[in-house]
Amino acid sequence: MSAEEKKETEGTDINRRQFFKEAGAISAAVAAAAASSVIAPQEAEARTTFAEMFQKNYRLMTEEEKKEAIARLEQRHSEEYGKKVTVDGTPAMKDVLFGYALNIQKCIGCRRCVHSCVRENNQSRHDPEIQWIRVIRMEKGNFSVDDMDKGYPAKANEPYGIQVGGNAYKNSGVALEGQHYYQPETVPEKDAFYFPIQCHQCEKPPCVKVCPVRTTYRDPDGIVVIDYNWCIGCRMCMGACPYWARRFNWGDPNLPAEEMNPKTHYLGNRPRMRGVVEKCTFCLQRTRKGRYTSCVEVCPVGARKFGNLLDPNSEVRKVLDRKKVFRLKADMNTYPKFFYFID
Amino acid sequence: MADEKDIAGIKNEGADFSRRAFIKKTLLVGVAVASTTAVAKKVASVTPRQDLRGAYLNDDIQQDKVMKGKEYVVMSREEKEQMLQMFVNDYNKQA
Repeated sequence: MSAEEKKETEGTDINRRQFFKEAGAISAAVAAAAASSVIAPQEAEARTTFAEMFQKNYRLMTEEEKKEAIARLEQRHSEEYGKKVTVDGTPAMKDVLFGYALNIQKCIGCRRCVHSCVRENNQSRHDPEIQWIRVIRMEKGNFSVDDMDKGYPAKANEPYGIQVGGNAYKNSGVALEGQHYYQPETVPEKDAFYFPIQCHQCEKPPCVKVCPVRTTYRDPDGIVVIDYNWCIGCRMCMGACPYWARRFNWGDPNLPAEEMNPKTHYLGNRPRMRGVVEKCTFCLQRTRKGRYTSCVEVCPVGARKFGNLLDPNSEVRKVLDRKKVFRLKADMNTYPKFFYFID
Repeated sequence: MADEKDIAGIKNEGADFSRRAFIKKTLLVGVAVASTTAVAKKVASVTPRQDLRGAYLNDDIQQDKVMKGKEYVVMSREEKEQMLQMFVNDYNKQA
């Protein structure tokens, strides 16, 4: 090989090396950019750290593991929302079984409870807003509770059948046939009444029975909770709920940082991710600290009552003792702890 | 000596070639995987919001359907007492 050829070859070799070097650098940059787009900070899924992905079901964690999981979440959410976010892990209180009662005579359909719930519980704000409480507007009918036990045929040849426990001439109960999307200028409207629906925290919850990964369960205080990290999004619980009171995050929740409530609970209002189910938890981040739920606090007419079913002096026990309380006509043996009543 | 050099040169070139090929392949595979993942992720995240709205709306309609057939009746005093007793018993059992 001549000296010139050698030089040329060396030159080519250097160029090739340089080329590889540059190509490598460019590829690395492209790969880094691609990777960063995969784990973009707005992607809740990608933010989930390795440890979080492989953590145990919350119910089965030791106290130490719970603390670690909570610390991880606090750090992640604080970074994400740019404020100090606390994730509480307060367990159920002793000798407390929560119950809720709603006076449908008093409810004026203002939906303050709905919006207060959204704010308190960090629900998705738009596209669409996820609401745990929905209010159905219904036309006032001719139902009168005083007629409940009437309706037996007065004469033997009367052309009406016997309807035990109801009235053969009138509806025997409140049939839920209304609309959610009412937009009146003012409430309450004449000839309308309102029926808010949310999770009934059933004593024997069918949603818990069907969950294939046991991520939803009933805590000792009667609240049915969800460990969002274990939810696989199969929606079995939604189908099992007699009230369809659960909500599914089809997309990433839209929760602006400035609207985020930083006081959260692991099993309650901490920010959720796409593909998981959520629902009312009786604001356990508040109620397990002796406070009322946000919907009870905000109700302008005092239609909502909340308390301990084990305490005979609680508001909810007084309602059960003294008021006319409703149950679903077709009893599904779920024993809800959310009651509708009238004075 | 010259022969040795040549042999060594050939050997080196061979080693260099395989190393280069390996690096080349690794880089290509790396870039391909990263870009495919990024594209797939982007495509998935750009799923039309309308489809999502439709999905949320379907859930709402489902709740309407479920609740439409429901009928509430007044509980008798006995029913209320039995239910309350059941709650208390259940609580004591779990405690």
